[in-house]
Amino acid sequence: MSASAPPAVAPDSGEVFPKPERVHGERFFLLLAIFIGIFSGLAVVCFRIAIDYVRITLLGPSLSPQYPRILLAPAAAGLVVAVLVIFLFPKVRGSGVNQTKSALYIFDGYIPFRTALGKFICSGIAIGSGQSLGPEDPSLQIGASIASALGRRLRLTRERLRLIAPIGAAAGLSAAFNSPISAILFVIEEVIGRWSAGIFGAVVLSAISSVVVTRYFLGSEPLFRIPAVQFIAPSELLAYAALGIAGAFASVVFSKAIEILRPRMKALPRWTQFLQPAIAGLIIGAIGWVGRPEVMGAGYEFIDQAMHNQFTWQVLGILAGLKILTTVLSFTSGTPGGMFAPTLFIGAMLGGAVGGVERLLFPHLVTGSIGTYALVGMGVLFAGFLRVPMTSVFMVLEVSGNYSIIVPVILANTVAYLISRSLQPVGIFDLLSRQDGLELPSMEEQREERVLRVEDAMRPVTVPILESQNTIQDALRAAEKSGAKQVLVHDSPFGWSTIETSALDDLISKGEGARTLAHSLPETRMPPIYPDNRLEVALRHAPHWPFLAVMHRADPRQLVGLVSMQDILETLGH
Amino acid sequence: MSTPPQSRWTARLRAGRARIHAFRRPIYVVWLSLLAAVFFAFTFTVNRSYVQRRHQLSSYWFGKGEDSLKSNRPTEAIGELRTALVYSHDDPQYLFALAQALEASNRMSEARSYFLNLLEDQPGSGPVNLQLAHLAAKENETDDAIRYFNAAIYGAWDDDPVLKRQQVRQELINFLIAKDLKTQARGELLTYTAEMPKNGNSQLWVAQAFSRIGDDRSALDFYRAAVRTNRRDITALLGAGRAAFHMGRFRDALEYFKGAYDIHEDPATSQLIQLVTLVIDSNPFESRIDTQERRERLLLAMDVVDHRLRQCAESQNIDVNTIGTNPLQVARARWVYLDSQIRRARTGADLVQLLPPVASLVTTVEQQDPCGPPSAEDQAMLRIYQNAEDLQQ
Repeated sequence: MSASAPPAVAPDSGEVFPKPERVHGERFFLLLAIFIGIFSGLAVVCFRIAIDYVRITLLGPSLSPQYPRILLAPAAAGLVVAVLVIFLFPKVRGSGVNQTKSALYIFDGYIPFRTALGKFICSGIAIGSGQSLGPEDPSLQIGASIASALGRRLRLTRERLRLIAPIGAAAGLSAAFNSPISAILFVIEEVIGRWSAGIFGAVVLSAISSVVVTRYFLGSEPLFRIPAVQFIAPSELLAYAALGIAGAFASVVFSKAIEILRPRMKALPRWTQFLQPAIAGLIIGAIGWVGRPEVMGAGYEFIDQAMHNQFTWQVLGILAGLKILTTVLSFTSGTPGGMFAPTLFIGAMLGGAVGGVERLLFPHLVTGSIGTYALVGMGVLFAGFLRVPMTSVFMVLEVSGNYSIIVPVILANTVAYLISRSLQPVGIFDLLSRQDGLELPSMEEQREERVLRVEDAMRPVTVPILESQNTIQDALRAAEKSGAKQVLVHDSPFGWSTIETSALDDLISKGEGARTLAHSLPETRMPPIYPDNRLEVALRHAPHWPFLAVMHRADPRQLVGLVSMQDILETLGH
Repeated sequence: MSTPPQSRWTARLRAGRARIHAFRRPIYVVWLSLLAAVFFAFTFTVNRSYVQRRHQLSSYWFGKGEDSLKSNRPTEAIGELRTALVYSHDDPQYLFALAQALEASNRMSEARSYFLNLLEDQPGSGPVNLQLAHLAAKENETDDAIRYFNAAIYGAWDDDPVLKRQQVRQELINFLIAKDLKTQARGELLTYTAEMPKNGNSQLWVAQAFSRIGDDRSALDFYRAAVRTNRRDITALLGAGRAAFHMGRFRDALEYFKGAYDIHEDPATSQLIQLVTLVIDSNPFESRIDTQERRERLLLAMDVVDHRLRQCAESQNIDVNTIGTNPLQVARARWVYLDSQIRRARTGADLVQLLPPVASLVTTVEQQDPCGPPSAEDQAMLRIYQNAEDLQQ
């Protein structure tokens, strides 16, 4: 199923179906989404098993790996990964989110199956050996690759093929995260960028089916156990707002470090590309060896411990800082792997540390457990660093299964998001795609883009308004009185139309001045245009009419303005 | 005109393709299903071996952790049990052991967090509630400790629930006594006696518990019951002797102490016998003694008190021969007055009337502090006259 270049529609292999044909059909597409979910779920199960096997083999079964494994395994694995990435799988660098977006916006849904294979092998080795990366983003890309391969095999239309990668991405992320709602929201918020009924059903089905498969094999336990979370006193919101501020600054530091280091690492001579993941691995191993093995790998076990009050606030703060450092090293060295798990790790540690400090300084203010702060902290980093505010809120709620903390979560995440946006206007995924020379649409910018509406272009009604029962003579008189070249005619109950004064002149000269306007109007009526319609709606119809009547929604006989092609173009030009 | 063979084949091919086209979606579904089945079977096989490996690893690390915990190496146990939990996330047995290890290494808040999580999953668990009671007890959170002890008593236990509940109630009683909550402890003791096994050990434990809360009458009853179960139970005999002695039943106490001494000739028991004998011989409250004997016993008490009074005055640097407001000086004045009264008394009735004020004086002086260690005579006098005071009150 692999191919070397991205064709618009993949060539037919001719193995199964002698002459494949395009498949349409909404229901079949939904059924296909379920299959994509199943395949992605199975692939993610294998991926997670592979990571664990690699970890046990390379670092040993103990939670605290021993010397010399702890030092050598990440470095040696880094070397192997570099060779694989450079010679066999050059497209597997990075997290995988942007690759999926590229498939959607640039390559018509095309992701080579080889990418899935490469991502599976390289990320499995890297994460299993202790590189500070997570399995979620690779799972997302594996899911998207599987979906793309299936879509090509079934000869889907270009439109469907383009949409199928995000469907697979949702399935992959959902399986890796064991949280379907967050996965669906993330894909819609960051990959697709819009709520479309056509794709929403398919995304939901694929995410749900992949989670069902994963839970069948790996159980329904969340990635980390959630302690009893509580939010009692409204005054504690101040403490959560402070956590939002701290999270925003941590996000900016994390993001800036990647922004600065990544292009510099890429600019180094080619031979250093072989060594970069190994050196990153060596540094991470050394940090583990000197006493902080928690920063190695995805680190879910330690998120669990942080949420159960297992570390002092000082240790939590140190772990947050070290995780930023190690993740930046792993990621900028070109090692394939995701940033979701490190983001959650940093958020949990930072949340716990901030909660601990606040409890120390303001014991009367902080009533929630350290676990509650760690949980909110995860959402804060999601909002501040990954810039997915909606996903960040639902992720915390879905993972905790507790809606009592929704207020602090929304507050802290919003604070983190707003501060992070003002300090670092370009989000991490947009930053990475721009560094790679791709101009992918920024979902963040799209979300905040100003939508132009008809009311922005319309002008007051300056032409005479007549009823279709009026005579042509009356119409001409009214036109001459106002000096207008057109008159607007309301032809109840069919709608609005226009007629030029020159046409009225002609009709009178033919002796039809006493006839009603209804006999002389063109057959078609103006489309109903309302002030809140997007300007594009008016633009579609404007070329066919000298102007369009903008109607009141409550009373179509009442006009609120007129809009012409020139009005629209002027507004768009501004 | 017949159709050329090539055209016939082309027509058949077209017809075949048309048929395939008509059934293309079901064919896709079948193909996808087959592919999914193969992938599923592969994943199933891989996962089975993975689950087995994880199970082996979790059992191995749990075993190591348990050994470390038993060998009093809780720090090592924590690391090992955490590793076990990596391979078996939510195993309550592992979580319980880890929480115990954390508790053993004095990491109370972490241990509590784990126990509370376990309690959330199994709110009626006896062992978890008991551990939380221990934690609360260590942290001096009396109300929480009592709540968790009670939850443990009425909670679920896997093996021998009746015995476990009795043991927990014993722990609760010990805790209440240690916290000086004697009324609550007495209530729990009474509940315990209703359901306790009728054996010597239990009776002995109950008797000792009653002694600790100062209920000598109940203590004596249970010591007697224990002695009836085993007549050679020295602890029960000594306990019965002490209870009887505290109640002022000195002759009964002597019997019990002698019984204990007959079984095991212990110098401490011998001292107790001497003390009781001294008490009996110095007791002016005896009804069977004559006036002269009562006077002598009272004067003996006055001598002992005088000696003690001087000892106290010396240690506190007070001159008791001068009149003053110091309690020792007041006591000395009372002593002088009572001593003359005892010597002047002519009839037995006069001496009996003097018994309460002498008891009050003896008790006051013998309980003065600091006066140095009391002698056997001091102890004997205090016991005799304090009982009289208590009886009067």
